[in-house]
Amino acid sequence: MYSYMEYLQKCFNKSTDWNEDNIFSNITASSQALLEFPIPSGLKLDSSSKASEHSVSSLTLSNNHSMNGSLAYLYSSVPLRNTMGTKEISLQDAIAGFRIIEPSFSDGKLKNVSTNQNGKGSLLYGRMYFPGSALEAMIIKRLTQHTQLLVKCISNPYMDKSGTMIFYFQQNKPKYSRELIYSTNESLLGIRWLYNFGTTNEHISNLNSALIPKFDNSVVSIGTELWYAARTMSPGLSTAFRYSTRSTSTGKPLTMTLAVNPILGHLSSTYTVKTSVASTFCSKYDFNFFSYASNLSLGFEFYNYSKEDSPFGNSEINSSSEENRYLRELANNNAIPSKTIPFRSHTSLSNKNQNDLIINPIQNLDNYYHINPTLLPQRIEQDDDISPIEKDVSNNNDIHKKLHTESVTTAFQNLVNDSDFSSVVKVSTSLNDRMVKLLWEGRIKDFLVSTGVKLSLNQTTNTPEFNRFGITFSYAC
Amino acid sequence: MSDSPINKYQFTLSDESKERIAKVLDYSKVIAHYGFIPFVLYLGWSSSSNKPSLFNLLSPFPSA
Repeated sequence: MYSYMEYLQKCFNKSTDWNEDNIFSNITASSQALLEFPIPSGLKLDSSSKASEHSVSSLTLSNNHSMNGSLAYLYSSVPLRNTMGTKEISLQDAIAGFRIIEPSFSDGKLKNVSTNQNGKGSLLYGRMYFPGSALEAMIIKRLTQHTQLLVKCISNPYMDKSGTMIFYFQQNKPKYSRELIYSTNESLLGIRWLYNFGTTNEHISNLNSALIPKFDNSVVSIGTELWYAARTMSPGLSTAFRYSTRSTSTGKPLTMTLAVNPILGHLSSTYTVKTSVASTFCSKYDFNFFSYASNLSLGFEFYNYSKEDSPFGNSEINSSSEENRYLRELANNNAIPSKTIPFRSHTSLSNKNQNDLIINPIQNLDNYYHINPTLLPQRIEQDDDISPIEKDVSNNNDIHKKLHTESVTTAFQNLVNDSDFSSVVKVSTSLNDRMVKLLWEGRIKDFLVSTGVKLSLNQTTNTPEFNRFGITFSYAC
Repeated sequence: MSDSPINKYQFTLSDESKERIAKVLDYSKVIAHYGFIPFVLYLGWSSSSNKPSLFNLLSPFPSA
């Protein structure tokens, strides 16, 4: 589960058109969310409040070994209008899970919006821990639409070297992203670089985005990082490859990654697939070609649908996720003022049999509209243009196929975004480490609760033992 | 060979002034350490149109 401040940072990135998936360090984000999720330890309470659209405060108390806590404040120059408290936030936004990688869209319209309003923003965040008054600080300064300076700092007056600072100069363009990193710790210098192959829709921005064939939705990225610690004169290098696509028949996204570190001889491959709207499966195979050591890890997450009736009903607040808003805005920008996009609430979903909504890959023209018409904001805008064609040339398979795949992928994505989930169960296991991690995260009343346990088999006595156990309550409004 | 102004300056830097510089640096570190969060709060306060009260700004609990 993201902390509220992490969530706000994500909102800031989204509202300033900063694509986090295009950064090298996030190249394995999906598999990490499924395999390496953190288990809370001890009891932790988290309360956050938004004093205004620009200022947020948060208090954390935990009793891990001894009572300690922290107080955090955040400032954003971009008004954080579309953030939500724990009561109405969708779990998809609040919990790290599968990330659908989309080809970067540099739509002409979007560009104008972002340069006018959000081209330059800044975010400052400070957290002070007590007892001890250590300070954790972060500054994000967007220099242009595609470049930003990120400074992270930890300062502890009771430490010898009194802390460390790390500077990132990041350039994030649809085709590539570059980062220059300097850390005062060990005078570490780093350069990271990520390149996306294929078309980045830059040159076809004048076309309707809905008409871009969906097989173009696959993204092939390759990235590398180079490190050099000037003080110890030690180098570092790793490279990674990511292929992300969607099934053309079912619209289900999958991501494969391969990461290699030639200096340590480490090779890691992952395969993550969203097997249904509510479940994701991930496997990872690690291999070291110096020691021949290997490890297989498996992870699984399963979302439970919310059963209770939401007080919001059809209200848009309930349908939370920000991608939605983005899609809606996009649809509105594409000039369909006469038609509003119908909104599906989770109540309608739970009333219907869930099976009805499963997207059938083999659809004909007749039941095409039955799939889930309310889920297709882009489909609606196409209605006017396409229906005559469909009537006249119903045998024009090409167009039909194109639209079909378009709608299926969009529909699947919308279904994922719109679904109202009440909880998620995450399970991860690693064969070599002989451990199982279980995590439950969900909404209880207005709180988001996260509880989990890590069990492992003792290597010598072969008895199972608890390594970690904890529960976190968080509230934000 | 004539001394460049920089060398001259370095040469004339007495222990006292070295100490003073170290002290100033130490103080500025402390100011940055304890002043960062008030600075974040001030930015938040000054950019909000409704100018929330100090209590609202500081309190991490939802106000009624």
